[in-house]
Amino acid sequence: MQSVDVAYAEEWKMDHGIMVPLHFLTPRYDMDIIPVNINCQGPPLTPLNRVWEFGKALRRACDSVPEKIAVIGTGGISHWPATPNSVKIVEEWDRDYLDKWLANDKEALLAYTDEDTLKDAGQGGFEIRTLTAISGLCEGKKGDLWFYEPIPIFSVGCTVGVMEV
Amino acid sequence: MSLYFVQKLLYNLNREPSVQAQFKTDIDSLLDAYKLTDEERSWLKNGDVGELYIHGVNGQILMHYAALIGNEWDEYIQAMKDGLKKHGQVRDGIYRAVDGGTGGAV
Repeated sequence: MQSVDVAYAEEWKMDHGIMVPLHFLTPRYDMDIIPVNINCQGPPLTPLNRVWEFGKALRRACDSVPEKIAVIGTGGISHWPATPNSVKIVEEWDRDYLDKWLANDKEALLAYTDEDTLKDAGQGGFEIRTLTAISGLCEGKKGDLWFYEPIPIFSVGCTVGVMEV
Repeated sequence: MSLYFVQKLLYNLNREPSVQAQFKTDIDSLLDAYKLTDEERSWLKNGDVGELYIHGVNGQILMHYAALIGNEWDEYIQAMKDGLKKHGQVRDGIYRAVDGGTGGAV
């Protein structure tokens, strides 16, 4: 942790962003899990360049141990969760972000401003941080999109993508 | 508006079964433990999701309170829209609604 600043929590109740993927990935909860959170909810939000560096730091940590580790970034793209606009999803914005994510285009991924993201993709759009961290973790590699579909009843476009390591 | 204390109460209410029990059996003593205005006490006692929303309670906290008092998801969303229509723009907290709730939050 020479390049990023982290904090530690003794008490933490996991939200849907962690529990829903784990429900499918390890339904018996019999694997070791290290939960990691990036503030995507309210200011001061983690700057995107720090998000990228955090991904790289995670990669170094993973590479330093013999265990086989899966790193999962979970978050929505455009959405307005728990607001009067909770069914709103901007598919075009999502797909544009995903194109940059799949290309692992660092410059483009770090060029998003919070002002534009809030305006165009809602406060839920701040969650691109979790996906961009994976891009940093896989710097220089490309991604593969397995699934994307706007699902208004879920208040978000649901996405599954994997990144080369 | 003491938004911090309203949200602190709702945060604890969302997390702690013992607080939920007190909310149902002795709400006045629960509310006494927080620095709340008479209006805030009224909104919380009456389940006025619209007022709480337009006074800035974050939706990620408010939605759990709405569920606790028996609101279905659609009722929760409608309560926020009704609050905007009746009382006007969100006036505290982090995010504002756009176009009466049809244009997103900024």
